[in-house]
Amino acid sequence: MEFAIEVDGLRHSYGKRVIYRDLNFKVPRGKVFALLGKNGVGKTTLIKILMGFLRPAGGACRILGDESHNLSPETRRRVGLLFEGHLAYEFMSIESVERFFASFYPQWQPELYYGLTDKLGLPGSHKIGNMSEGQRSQVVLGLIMAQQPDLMILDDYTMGLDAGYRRLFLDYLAEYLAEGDKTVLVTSHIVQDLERFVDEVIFLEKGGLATQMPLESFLRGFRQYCLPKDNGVKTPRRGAAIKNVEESRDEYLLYSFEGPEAVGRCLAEQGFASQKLEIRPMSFEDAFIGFTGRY
Amino acid sequence: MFRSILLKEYTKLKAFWLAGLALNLCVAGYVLVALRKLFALDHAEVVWYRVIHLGQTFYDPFMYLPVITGLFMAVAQFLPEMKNHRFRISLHLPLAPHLIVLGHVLVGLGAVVLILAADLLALAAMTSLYFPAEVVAVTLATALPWLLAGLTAYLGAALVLLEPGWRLRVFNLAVSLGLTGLFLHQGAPGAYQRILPLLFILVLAFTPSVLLPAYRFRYRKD
Repeated sequence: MEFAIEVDGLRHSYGKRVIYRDLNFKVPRGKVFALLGKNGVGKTTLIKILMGFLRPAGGACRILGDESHNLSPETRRRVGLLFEGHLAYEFMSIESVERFFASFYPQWQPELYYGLTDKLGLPGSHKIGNMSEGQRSQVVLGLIMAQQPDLMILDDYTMGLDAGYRRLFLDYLAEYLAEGDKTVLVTSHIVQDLERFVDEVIFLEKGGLATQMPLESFLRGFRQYCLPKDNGVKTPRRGAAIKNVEESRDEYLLYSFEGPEAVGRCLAEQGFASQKLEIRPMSFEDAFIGFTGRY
Repeated sequence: MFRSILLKEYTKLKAFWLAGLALNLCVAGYVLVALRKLFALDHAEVVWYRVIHLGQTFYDPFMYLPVITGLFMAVAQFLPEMKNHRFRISLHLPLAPHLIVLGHVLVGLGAVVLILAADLLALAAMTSLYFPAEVVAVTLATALPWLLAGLTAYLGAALVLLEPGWRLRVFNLAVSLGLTGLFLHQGAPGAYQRILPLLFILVLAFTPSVLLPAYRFRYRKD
């Protein structure tokens, strides 16, 4: 199988602070991946490496077969990047930026760009620097779509967007992706938005551990259990069947990929009565927080 | 594609270029007025004696103007690129990174050279109005290193702005200041006349150095 992204034994550190020791994951072509993780787990560093603006200390990170920090111009042509904050040439207008990028990409499709920007109701001479963040996000997405890249890396596309623009962005993206065999790697701080169009998730955890699975498997298999507090001083510990434990005023919330029996056994081994253990439904955001932990 | 880079930078810089040109023309106008005043207050032979025999210069405001122009254009061109690391957009274009960077520098240098050429023309024209050809030649020989200082100021500012690491940024600043200062330290009018080709080669040799911070920005390790 050909992979759009291959991260193999990746190592990186800032001085003595180790970010990853041995990070591994692979992104097959034609799917939409979400890269998720709490603040401080090295998501931004990984995005910089994937985008080719940071050379890893060790291991390999390949984008469409090329080392990410040394992409050939031909491979760069096949990769569309959306930088955090929807970076754009602010001194250019809607029309001039289209003409500029069109000259670099033989497969350029202006109708995809103008299909999106026409909806803004702005003249073609309108400067990008005079746009709102939401309007700019449409311009940037239009440019990436017109480029027709095989791989899109979208870094925190939600930044600065209200609910309406987030929805608009995702609707256009989903419509675009439905038509072709494109690979997308997306990061976002608003995880519930991703549920609508992501195929697989990659959870990045502290120390450089990556857990990769189909979103459907995660939503179906990852469970939240509720255990009322019994006024004891002990707190259930994570480990074995229990992935994470969160505590509220009256109850413990336990997160696990295992069924109630396995979680009950694990609690029993720790000295807890598990009769009152119950499964509680949760949203994708709840599951994300349950998986990665609140703190 | 390379032409697109040039057009993009032209679009970005044209308003700043016009502002820079206006500033330079204003200074040229001021020098012309000051020159007319010299001849109005003194007899022409006195002014000639001071300029030709005593080596006084009537065009001192031109000394730092190219440096200011070079700095202004470099900041106008590269500061927005460094804001949120916007330069990444250009560096991801499907073109060899050195062509992308040199395309940027070519437009910036071109913009500075055009303004400084206007300065040189204005200076030659106003000098020839009041002085013989020999004085015009010495005036231009004196001003040319100042104009080259404008180019090193532009390149030095680009070197500092593009460098991602603060230690090397300080080093680049020191090198740029030293090099620019060298062009401004003439003991007497036209003192650098004989080494002008060497100074020109120095500027040419300094030009590709901008590739280094750009490469460090593109392929950084921390």
